[in-house]
Formats: sequence, C-alpha cells, structure tokens
Amino acid sequence: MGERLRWRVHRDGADTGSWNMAMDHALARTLEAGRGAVRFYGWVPHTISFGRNEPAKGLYDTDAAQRERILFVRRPTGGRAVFHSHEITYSVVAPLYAFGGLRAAYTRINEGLVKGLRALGLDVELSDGSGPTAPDAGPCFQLPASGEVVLGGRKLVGSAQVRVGRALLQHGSVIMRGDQSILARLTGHGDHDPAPPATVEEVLGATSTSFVVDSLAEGLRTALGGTWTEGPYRSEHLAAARYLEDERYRREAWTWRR
Amino acid sequence: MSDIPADLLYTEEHEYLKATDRDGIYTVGVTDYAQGELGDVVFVELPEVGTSFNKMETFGTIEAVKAVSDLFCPVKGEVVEVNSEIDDDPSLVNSDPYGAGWMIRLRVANEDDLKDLLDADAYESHLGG
Repeated sequence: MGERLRWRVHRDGADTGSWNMAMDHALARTLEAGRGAVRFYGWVPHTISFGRNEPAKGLYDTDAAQRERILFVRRPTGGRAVFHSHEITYSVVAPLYAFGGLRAAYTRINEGLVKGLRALGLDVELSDGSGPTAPDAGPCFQLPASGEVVLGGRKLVGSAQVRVGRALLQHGSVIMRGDQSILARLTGHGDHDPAPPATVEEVLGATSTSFVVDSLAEGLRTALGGTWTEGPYRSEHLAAARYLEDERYRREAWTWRR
Repeated sequence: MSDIPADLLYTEEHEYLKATDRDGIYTVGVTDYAQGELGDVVFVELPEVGTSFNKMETFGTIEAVKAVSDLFCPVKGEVVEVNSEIDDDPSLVNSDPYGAGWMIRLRVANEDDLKDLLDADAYESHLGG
C-alpha cells in the first residue's frame, strides 16, 4: 500500500540541536505532494533534547550542563528526553497518508531501520513494547515502546513523530556508543543509567558513521520504495529552517516551556 | 471501522464539532479515527477559557506514546470551557472520544461558518470509507 514517492536523501554532518530540529521541521513544513525526504545527521555540541510536551523546566542542573558543554533543545516531536552524543540521527518526512497514516508509517520506517541494521549483522527486532508512558515518565531510552527497534531487549533506536499539517516527521537516534547516564546526573538521580541503551559498537566494535548510514539508507529505501536521489537542500528548505530556528528552536522560552 | 456519529460536523484534520443545549456553544474534540490512529493518548494541552481562535488555528496539542499532533479549531470562536478531566486521565480521549474525552466548548463566532465543515457522510468519504 502507499504511493511511490520521490525521495531526496540528505547526509548532513553534525550541527547544533536548534538547527537539526529546525531543519527536520522545515522539511515537513515545506513538503510538496508526491515527495519525501530522509536526513542523517549528528549533534555538536552534545545536546539533551526534550519531547514536545515533556516537563523539563527546573528539573535540570543547567550550570553543570554548561560546564560539560551540553546544550538543550526541545523537539517538535513527542516522547521523552534523549542525550545526543555518539549517535546517528535519522529523520523521515513524508505525506501523512503515504503509508496509510501515522501508525502505519511508524511501522514501515522502523522495518526499514531493522533491515538496515540487520544487514550490518545486528540481531535487532521490533519491540512488543511497554504500556503507554506519559511525557514525564523518565528518559526515552529507559523503556521501549511498541514497534521500536531493540537489540537483546534493550532499545537501540529511540524514535518519535509529529504531524505537521499534511506531512509527518519521524526522527530518531541510533546509538553508536555511550549511555544516557548524564540525564540521571543532571536531574539528581545518581550517576548511573538505570537502563542503558543497546549500541551499534557493542556488537560491531568501532565503526564508521558513513558505513552505518549507508546501510540505514538502503534499509529505508527498500522499505519505503519510490525513487531515491541525493542532493542539497533547496533555498525554501533553508529559509524555513532559518526562520524556525530563530523563532522557536533557539529560544529559551520554547526549550523550557514546561 | 471508526465510529462516525451522524449528527456531528467534522474537519479533514479529524476534529469534530457537536451541538450542546446552549445556543451557539459547541463541543470540540477529536474523532474516533484520530484517537485510533494516534494510539494511547498520554497528554493533551488545552487553551485557557476566554481564548479566541480563528478557523483552523491551533488550539492545543495531543500527544500519544510517540506521536504529537496539533489540534485545530474547526471554526472561529471563543473557548468557554475546557475538559480538565483529560488532564488527569488523557486515556478518556481513547475510550470515549465523543463523550468524556471532549476537549473544549466553543462559542462559535458565526454559525454560518458551520457550512464549511464536513457532515458524517463527507467525513467518511474523506477517510476513504
């Protein structure tokens, strides 16, 4: 089911959280009929992102974060806090009904991620999931939701979605190495990650980012179909991203809105 | 198959508008299709009473386990009541979208605007039914 989309793939380097969120949102806001977009990117400096409605105000030791050169941003998507350090972030933007709706798209995209990760030799599967979790239920990687990509029962990819008009955006973090213990530390919950995520490098050892991105892109291409080309952003994407970064994602009022 | 009550009006974005027994006051929520598509609702952000919205302006957000969606005001109007029950129990949106899971009550600015909304048949066609 679903229409054949013309996809454009963007392999970006690492950038700030505010730019990353602005560009993901901009691609959804400017999406044209019959088209889709896939991005891969990283984060510099390391950043903690909050879910759109997650309570965060007053919960983090921002002075300690500043000493460790960690920034904060609030995502357009749902879900809970993620510490973005050694990871590959993917994003997929598509017409809302291209795959039948939000849930169907979620399944299809995650199947693509599974294909890409299995091709690398990672024995991943889609989680049966835990029950519904509220935005204040703790960090994202603590509990896999239904349909998320897990490795040995631990979450390897944390994903979230938003509907932007007639488009959907799904983005998520594929953890290369490291844990999420900084979230506990900055919120006064000790030094340990109570449920560390699975990582790509615990299985494959030191691995180049581009090698993993190639495989994820191929997995998504197989799962999502259509025609795929790589290319730069168009001027309207960049203009929308600059606007959204200035008006929302760089603003403290947005980051600390709850 | 989603429940689409015959006596309500709908938007293409899956909000419904339901008449109350008070003149010019309508109940707004999201449809059964919308709640099913989002999955388990964990949070709903609603406006304050007294806020006015234009047609299709965002009046709040709804968050399910993973997905967030804006809530669109079906017609221009002023919020006269919000459902504080769903603050405590957002799952009411899933279990009873047209009843206990309602979101706001709206004093509609101009009832002629209701003509622009979908009736149940048109909404069903929109869903591909």
